[in-house]
Amino acid sequence: MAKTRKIVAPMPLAAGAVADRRQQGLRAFQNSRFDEAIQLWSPLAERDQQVRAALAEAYFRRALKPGADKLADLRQAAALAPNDARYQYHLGMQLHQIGELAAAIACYRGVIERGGPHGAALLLALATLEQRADIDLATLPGSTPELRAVLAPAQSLLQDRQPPETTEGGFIVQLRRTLGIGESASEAVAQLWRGLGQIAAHDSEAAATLGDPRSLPTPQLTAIRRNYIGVAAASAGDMDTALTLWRKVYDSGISTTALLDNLTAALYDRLSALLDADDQAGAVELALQTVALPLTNAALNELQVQQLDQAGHAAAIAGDWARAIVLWTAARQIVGANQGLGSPRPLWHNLALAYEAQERWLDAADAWRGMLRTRPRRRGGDQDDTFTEAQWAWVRKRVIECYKHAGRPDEAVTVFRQMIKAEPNDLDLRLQLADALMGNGQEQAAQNEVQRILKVDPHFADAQARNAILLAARGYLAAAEEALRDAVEHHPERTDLRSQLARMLLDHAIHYVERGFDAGAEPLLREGQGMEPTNEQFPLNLARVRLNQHRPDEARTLLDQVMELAGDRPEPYIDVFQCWVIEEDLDAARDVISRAEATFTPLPDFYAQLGILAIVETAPPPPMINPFLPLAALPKQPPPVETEWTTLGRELLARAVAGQPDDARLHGRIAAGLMGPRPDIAQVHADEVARLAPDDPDMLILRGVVLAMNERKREAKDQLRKAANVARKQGNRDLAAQADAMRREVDSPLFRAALQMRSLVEEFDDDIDELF
Amino acid sequence: MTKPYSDPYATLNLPHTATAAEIKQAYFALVRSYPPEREPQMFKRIRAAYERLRDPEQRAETDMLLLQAWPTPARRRRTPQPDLALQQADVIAAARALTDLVRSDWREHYEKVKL
Repeated sequence: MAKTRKIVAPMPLAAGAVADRRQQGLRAFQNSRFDEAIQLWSPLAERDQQVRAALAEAYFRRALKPGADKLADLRQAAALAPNDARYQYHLGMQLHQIGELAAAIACYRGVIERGGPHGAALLLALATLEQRADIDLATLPGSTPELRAVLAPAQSLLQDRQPPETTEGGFIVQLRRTLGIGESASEAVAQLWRGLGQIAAHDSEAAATLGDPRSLPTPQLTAIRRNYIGVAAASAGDMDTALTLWRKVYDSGISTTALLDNLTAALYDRLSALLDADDQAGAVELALQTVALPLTNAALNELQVQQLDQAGHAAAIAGDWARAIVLWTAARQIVGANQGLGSPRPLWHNLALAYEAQERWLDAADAWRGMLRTRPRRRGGDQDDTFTEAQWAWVRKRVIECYKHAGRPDEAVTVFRQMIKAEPNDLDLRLQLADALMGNGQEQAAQNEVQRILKVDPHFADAQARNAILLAARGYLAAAEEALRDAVEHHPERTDLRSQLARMLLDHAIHYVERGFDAGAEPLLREGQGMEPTNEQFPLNLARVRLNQHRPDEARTLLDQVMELAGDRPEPYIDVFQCWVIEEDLDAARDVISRAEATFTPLPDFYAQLGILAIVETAPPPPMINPFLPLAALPKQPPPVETEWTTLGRELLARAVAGQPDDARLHGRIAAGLMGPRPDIAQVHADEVARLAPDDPDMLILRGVVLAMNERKREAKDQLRKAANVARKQGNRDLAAQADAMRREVDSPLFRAALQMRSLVEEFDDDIDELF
Repeated sequence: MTKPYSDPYATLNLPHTATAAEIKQAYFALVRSYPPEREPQMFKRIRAAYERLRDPEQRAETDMLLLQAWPTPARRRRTPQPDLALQQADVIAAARALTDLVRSDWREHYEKVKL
């Protein structure tokens, strides 16, 4: 059976409840809780005349409180008690304030008819005057000679006529009588009108007249007088005084268009004067102090932004990034308030870099995001965008990096998810989300997001590129390459995609070469070379394949190609040199050095690297350690063998050191590189390191280790002890403990054996590099 | 005070638009003027600047880490001028300041509520 819902009619309040509400409302009213009183009384007002009057009073009293909706409350009060002249009077004033002159006039007339507050006649005359300056005030109800005298100066000035003589005794008396103010204040008002008349007549006496020190009866009049003293000063060419006075007027709460225009002109004038006097610091301070003023003049704002930006650059160059942030934030504030000034992009960019320098990562992320917002909306549209797609991608990556640094990689995900909610069809945003998910380690979610994009736009180049990265990360190299091939095919103009594909092919090929699968590597290298014919890594790795296949002549042609592509970059020459060292072709190796020297001036580091390679790559492998023999039976280091390669190596090291004989870093690099296979050669350089950097505990440790490798155990221990002491003195406890631990291990037969192992030596070499 | 900003282009006395060839040329010219054995510190700075610009990929990264200059305005804007005339709005404001419109204390208009 269907249930029927019973409709209940609202019940009239019981007599007791009504009485309660009346009294509760009264208590609220008496405690100035007018909202509550209004709420309690409103339902009773229709039937209860007393409550109705009380409710009107509650609206009236609430209207007089700050923050109230004055007009609405006064209208309510006037509607509830239409015969109460007070409410009409205040409603009239409220309408007058907001420029509703006709409605205000109607209210004032009603007030006068009901014999309401005596100020109504003056206000009626004033409102009428504001409507029509030539009105005959004598025709208005309530008008008196005194009232007309009070308004006479204003009426004259509004009609572009000079005001009547206000300093006469009659005017002062009428002012006092009408306004109920003292003699001094009345005289000050009279002087003000006179001064304003002089301003209107461009009379230079205005400054003296307005300079009257007597107090005016209201702060509004004081502000007007101050403003026109500023005008008089500006007329006399004193813009500094004008600026100070106008600033004070603005600070007193006045912000008329004319005042803001004058402030703009004075500020521009002052800034220009400071710059003409080469006082850039003064100009920047002034720009900073006035940044909060709502002055939207393009010429002024440009000047302000230029000064703030230049000062920001200077602060950054001095390393004072905190100051730079203050300056660029101010500049951005100005640009944000004035659209005509152009894009805030450079300021966001600088702010982001400054926040990063301060390691304020969340702020930096916000600034990069601010920069992203400056990107033209339509992708591929005709809007001018000075940034390339790759640069925007860099910025997006940076947002994610900053959130990562802040320990909030999830925040980037949240941010991009929120953005997508607002614009679900924006594929760029979805791509940013995919990047953020990748940054947050959510590869599967990133992959899903990328697939969503590709479903909508299967040839969206950047989504295809991300897809390839994600596939490669999961080991699907062939699929990744296929995705990129498709992207390159559909976007031949995107060189970055070609580079990405080339790099991916190279990584894949190196992976094959390292595993001896030359046949798999070769086609990838050939394809990659087609993508990036100027990348020497392709002929270099093809040459390695050829050398593996014992086809040195073909390798030679390819390695020649590497050196041609290398130009003045030393690294490819080092790679080619290494190939010939491994191949043990001394002439070819020497030829590489000659070709490098003919192309550029090699630095000492270049020779050092070649020297180390020549010795390390041709050294016999360290003796095998038999784990089943006792430690004492560990094989001894074979005596060093001199070969044509060690001769070349020594020659190259000598050339390196001759270039920078006092460079501890260079000696350190050589000592660390050679201490495994040739501790005897390493010792010479380790000794130099300790001599050149006696207070550097890392250097002393290096020498200690090399001494131990040369079986000079006592000296090694002494050196390591000294290193620990120096480290301790410098407050580096960790390093001191490390030196002590090494000292205790020096006697162990495993110490040397462990260091001889190539991997360990290489690791140490990296540490040495980091020291510098 | 954190690490100061350094612009590798400025170190090499080059504009940000310099070509790879110009970068190389500037680098070698500076190395000749500041050889490592005589000016090791200066040489280090020059070398570090060159390292940041030599490789196109590294240069692209470096370019993104350069401070951006606020562009010089394309055209000169009109200099703002003060308006030194008497404003009618101020005349009205002065007249209003002599009336109840600027008054804030209205306690004498309050009426007691009796219920």
